[in-house]
Amino acid sequence: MLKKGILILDDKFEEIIIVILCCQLVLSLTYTVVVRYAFHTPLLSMISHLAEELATFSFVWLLYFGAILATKRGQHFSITVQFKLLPKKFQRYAFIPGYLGWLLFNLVIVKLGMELVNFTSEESMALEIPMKFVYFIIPLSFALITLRMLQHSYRVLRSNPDEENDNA
Amino acid sequence: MPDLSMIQVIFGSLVVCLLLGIPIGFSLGIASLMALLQTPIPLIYMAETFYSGADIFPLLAIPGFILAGNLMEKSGITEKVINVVYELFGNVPGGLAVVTMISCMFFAALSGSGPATTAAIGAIMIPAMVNSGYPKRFGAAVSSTGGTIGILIPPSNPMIMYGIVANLSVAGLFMAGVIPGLILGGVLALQCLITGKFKGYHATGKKFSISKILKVIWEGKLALLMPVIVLGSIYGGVATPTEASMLAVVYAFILGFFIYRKLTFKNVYDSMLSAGMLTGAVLIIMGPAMAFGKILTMYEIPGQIAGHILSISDNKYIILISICIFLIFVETFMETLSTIVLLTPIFLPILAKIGIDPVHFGILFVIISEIGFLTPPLGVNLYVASAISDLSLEEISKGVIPFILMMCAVVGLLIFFPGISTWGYYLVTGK
Repeated sequence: MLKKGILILDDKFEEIIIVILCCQLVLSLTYTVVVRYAFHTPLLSMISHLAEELATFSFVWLLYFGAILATKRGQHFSITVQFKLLPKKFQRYAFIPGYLGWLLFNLVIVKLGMELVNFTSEESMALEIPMKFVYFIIPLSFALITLRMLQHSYRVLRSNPDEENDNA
Repeated sequence: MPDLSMIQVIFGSLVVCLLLGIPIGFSLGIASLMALLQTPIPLIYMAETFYSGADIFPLLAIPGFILAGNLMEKSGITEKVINVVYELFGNVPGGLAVVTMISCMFFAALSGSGPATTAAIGAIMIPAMVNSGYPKRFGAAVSSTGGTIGILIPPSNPMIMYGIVANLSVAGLFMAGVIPGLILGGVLALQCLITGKFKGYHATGKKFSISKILKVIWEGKLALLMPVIVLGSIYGGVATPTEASMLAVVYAFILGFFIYRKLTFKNVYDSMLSAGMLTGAVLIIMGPAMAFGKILTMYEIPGQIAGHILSISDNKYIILISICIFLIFVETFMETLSTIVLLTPIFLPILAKIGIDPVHFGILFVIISEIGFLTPPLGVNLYVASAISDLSLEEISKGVIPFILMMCAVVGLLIFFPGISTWGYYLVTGK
């Protein structure tokens, strides 16, 4: 039961968050336009102000959750033509040095991101939520990107070389 | 010479990271981090830029237009548009190719991305062309090329990015793209017609009939209204480009889900995922780009590069043409928005010194990105057309060569006549 739950979480975690954030982004910004031109009352305009800020937060979170999903599905933009110059049997291991550098960078950002979260004490302009919660996406996403990278390399290294055509 | 070593540190580590296959956004992050280590700026600044670089309101339009394009592709809007163009322009030599090109121009007015335009129009027109006896390679090449116009005719994701980086009005840039977009689309459609005439690709044979045209226009009225809503809301002052992108999403959803009834919940879910994923993969560069920009300014790196370039030549056309050739080279293997983020802050100060309008350069940059969509190894439109047509990338990339030559000719025209690219911008911004 627990194992099944973890598998579902592993499979759908980013996806569900991305869909929620997308809906949130579209709805809040549509709301601001509609309120501005159709129902111009002070209360609704104030909520519109909040909606705009919420949309910006959702966008930043969407961006980083999108980056986690892109890591999981190997959709980041990297240059890989140079790997074709290597002998065939090394090609499937060619991503490893780059992965190590990328991984190290992620860990540095997780550490710096945690410092940023801990040092931040101000609140957001409109919604007045502590900015440290919003900033938390930085260490969180880089940690999850690292996790997805480890999963991806484990899968590539364990898989059968003959049917391998993955390019991270 | 401490400044020279800074250039070496930042560009050296960038090139090493890229060669190791690290994604471009993270490569730029590592390079900026390396450079920051040489400066008194505390490292926590790097983490901060990952937030503040993304916290830019006009950027929100990018996922908006990507999502709107994804929804439109599956909502039945494309068929309605093609029907109208088919009745209007089908009966000429190479008719279906001309219809493809012009439909792409129309779809470009709804979508901000090149591959999305190729996917939407190509999915219908490539099979249609093959069924009418056009060679498959030609059909796939026409669809890939037509799709590139998607980023020149507004809305356009590369222009949003360029506007942010170069600090120009996005609505103004959109307007600036209209005339070059119509010229490019017109020239390419003409090229299809002439190719059709010589190769004997026949016309649709449909008689030009006013009543039939009015009928398809009436049937497609809600789809045809879409650019009016998206662009009209921007230029009518109702919405910012960001809000307009969200209105496009809502309109495409209502049309596809309630009126044409083609969208399913699964389509919507997948469209959102791919929009989110693309946003992440492309825009992760924003944070590092901000740190990179700060280091460039701090160490006056663009000024130094400008000094080197100006010592070779001070003829502005020679410099502009060399920069364009360099950009074509870079765009063959680099993703478009990342290239804009990375290179605009380096080239703009140089161009300012020789008196090139940043709007002019922006339009050239966008058309060069279009050429990049058609050139391997990273030719995104070719991938899409290859998936639709089952042809190899090599095969299609041979087919697009005549069109690329024509696009280079248009770039040449725009280099020497800057007014074509800039008047729309000053019309909107009123300068």
